[in-house]
Amino acid sequence: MKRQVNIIFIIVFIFILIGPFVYIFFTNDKEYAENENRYLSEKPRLTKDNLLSGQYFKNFESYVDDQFIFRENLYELKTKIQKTIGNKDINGVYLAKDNYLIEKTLDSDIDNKKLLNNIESLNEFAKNNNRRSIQLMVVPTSSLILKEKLPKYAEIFDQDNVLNTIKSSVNDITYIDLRNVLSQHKKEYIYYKTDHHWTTLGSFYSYQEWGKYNNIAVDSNSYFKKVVTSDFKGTLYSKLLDNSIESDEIVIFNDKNQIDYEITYNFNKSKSNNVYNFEKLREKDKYQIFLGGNYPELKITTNNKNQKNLLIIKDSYANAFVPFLLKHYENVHLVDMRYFKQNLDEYINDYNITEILILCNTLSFIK
Amino acid sequence: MVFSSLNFLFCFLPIILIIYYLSPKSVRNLILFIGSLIFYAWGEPIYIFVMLFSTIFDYTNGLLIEKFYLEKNQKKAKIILLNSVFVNLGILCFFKYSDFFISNINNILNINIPLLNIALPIGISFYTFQTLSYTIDTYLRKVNVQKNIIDFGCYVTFFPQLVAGPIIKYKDINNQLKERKESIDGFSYGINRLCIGLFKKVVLANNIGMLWTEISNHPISQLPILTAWLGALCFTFQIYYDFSGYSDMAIGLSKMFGFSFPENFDHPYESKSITEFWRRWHISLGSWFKEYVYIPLGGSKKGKIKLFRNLLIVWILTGFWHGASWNFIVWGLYFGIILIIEKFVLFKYLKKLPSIIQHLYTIILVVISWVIFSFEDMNQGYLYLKSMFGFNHTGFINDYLIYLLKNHSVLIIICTVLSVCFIKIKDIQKKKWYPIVINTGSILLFLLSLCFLIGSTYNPFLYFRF
Repeated sequence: MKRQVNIIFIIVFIFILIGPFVYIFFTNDKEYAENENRYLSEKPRLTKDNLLSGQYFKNFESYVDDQFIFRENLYELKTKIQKTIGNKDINGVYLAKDNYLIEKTLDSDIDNKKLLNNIESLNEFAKNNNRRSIQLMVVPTSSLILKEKLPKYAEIFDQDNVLNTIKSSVNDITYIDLRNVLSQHKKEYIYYKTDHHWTTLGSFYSYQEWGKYNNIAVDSNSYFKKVVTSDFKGTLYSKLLDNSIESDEIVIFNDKNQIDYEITYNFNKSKSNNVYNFEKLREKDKYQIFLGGNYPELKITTNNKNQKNLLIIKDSYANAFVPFLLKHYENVHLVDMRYFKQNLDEYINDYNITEILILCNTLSFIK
Repeated sequence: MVFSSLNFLFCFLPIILIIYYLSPKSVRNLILFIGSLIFYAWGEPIYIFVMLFSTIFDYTNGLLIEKFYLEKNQKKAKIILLNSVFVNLGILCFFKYSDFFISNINNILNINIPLLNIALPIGISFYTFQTLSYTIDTYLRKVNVQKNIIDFGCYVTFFPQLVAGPIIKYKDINNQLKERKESIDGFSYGINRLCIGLFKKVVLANNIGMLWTEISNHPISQLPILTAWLGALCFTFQIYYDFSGYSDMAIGLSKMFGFSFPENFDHPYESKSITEFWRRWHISLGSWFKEYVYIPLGGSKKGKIKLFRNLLIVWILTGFWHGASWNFIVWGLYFGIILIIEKFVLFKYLKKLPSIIQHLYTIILVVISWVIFSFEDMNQGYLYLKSMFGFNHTGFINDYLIYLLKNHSVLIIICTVLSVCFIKIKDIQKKKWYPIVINTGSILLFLLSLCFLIGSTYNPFLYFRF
């Protein structure tokens, strides 16, 4: 009896060992992982150089890891198990109240040197461009505004401290503080539940706040809201692959007095005339509906010929905010410093920039 | 290569098992030898030559010692032995300890010799001790000379124990090189041990280790007492499940090829004294030092003073073996002194105390020892101990501790319960339901471990990587 049980067991185990091997090496490779936002490893090529340096072995291991059978299902199972045993913090994400996922950032994650360097660069930049108005809008993340939703006693980095440091250290720059206005609306849907970005509503309230610093009154009645998808599962969902969570809704605010505009991307490499890229709704990262994603450079030319040219130095938070600004400027330029390799001062001169807005979220300053 | 990787479990292991069992018995040691070399070269394409050198060197020494004995020339045989010891320890010291010695000399003499920064060849602390056990025992006539270089190479490089032990003395398996029996029951036992070990390492050790990392990332001098203790406890569990998990996998894997390895851990956290602890923790290391250092120095048979000296030497060396840093020496000495005190003073009192006090006494001393062990920077280690005993005036508990306990209570409880498991395996092994339960359980543990292994390869980026 024992012998038979053992034989069956051995057969099952060998099958478990061999199955994935056959799957990995004898079926077609997966190329791109939508949930991870990266390309998966390809079959490693054996050459004398990479054998001696050990690189072949590393490539082989990445290949096995990336092409493993049921990879995402097993990952989802791991998350489920962790949730079942009461874990409220998985892979750098807090499972907060009301089905919100909030990014877990700790004080030990703050790179103080980077923070000070960024502030210094900003001040340097302001000095060189002091003939233009410069405004800074650091968007607080949900881990500050929605703090009450975090699991009880959960640790989170002191974002107020970071924002206060930035606010008090910048010279000749108008600091637009969004903490009050966003806190006032914290019971509304101003951050996504499954993504680290703010919702269009959140960026609208911030636009109203921006308006106060720029002598512009914003009437919420001049927009009609349209739900473009109810099926958005964002970056924080990707860290968990928990399919039992509620998806997010993405809303766009259509201006009743819509202005005409044309967009050119990446120094004129392509064009479009819609800030909303509806094709992206068919992909996984639906937040890319705003401007189609992040480009090194983007220019929007409107038919408001008021000779005001705005430059926005940005991260991805700006994408949802930009549509609101279009009617106030003749040209709106967007530059993403992670990918922009040209000389910024020359760019500013060449395009006759009259105003500069730096718009990013707190984490861009400290990581 | 690492056991707890998809690469090892799903590529290397099935391939070597299939080739092994399809081959005739006469070729099987060669297959293990070549397979083990591939296993080693996978991670270290260059340092494999150091290991090959050790193998060929001591194989030759064995032949020479045998030759000189046959010529009745004990003196020359002794020279070969001393040469072997000197060269093996020399290689170990060079790769592992040279920078330690250089930086200490720099500090004492106030000069600035540049460090060598040599990478440590994997497994060198293990295989040099193994080849030494061969030459010493050949000299002492405790084993016959091994004339087959393949068999000897198979012993030295055998992949299950190559990287993290147990330290297998040559005489413990020399018969198994030629006469071992692979069997169905043995193979399934091997799979059981492998699955249990994998679970301990990937599910328990790695996760409780993350908790330790998170706690110790906070400013140490600000940790309240219980939080500091929780951190130390996490490390205590991490090192146990990591090390014993690896040993379980080694024992299981070797059994799948018909080898029976001696046990390396025997529920050490159940001990009632430090003396007992060291009979249950890293048994193969204690045994090696006892046989090849303690007893040759005279052991306990040459009077009290020499006994003290021998114990202190053995424990300093045991500590130093673990790493090239002063905290490890302090750690070894810490145990050496406690063992001496237990042997001469404490033991007769300890025995009379209630069991629970004996257990608490032991586990508290063990947890403290792990704090010394985990901080190479002894200033940090000292600060941490201060936090544990309230000398940093940071209070007893904080909100963070409550959060950790709520979030990770299941993991902590499982780690505690499994480490003091009072079920004797031998009792339940004979039950009718045992095969089904252990085998099904193994499969489940394996799948659970697989989930967590995948977890560490899953890597989402917030922004697209160009």
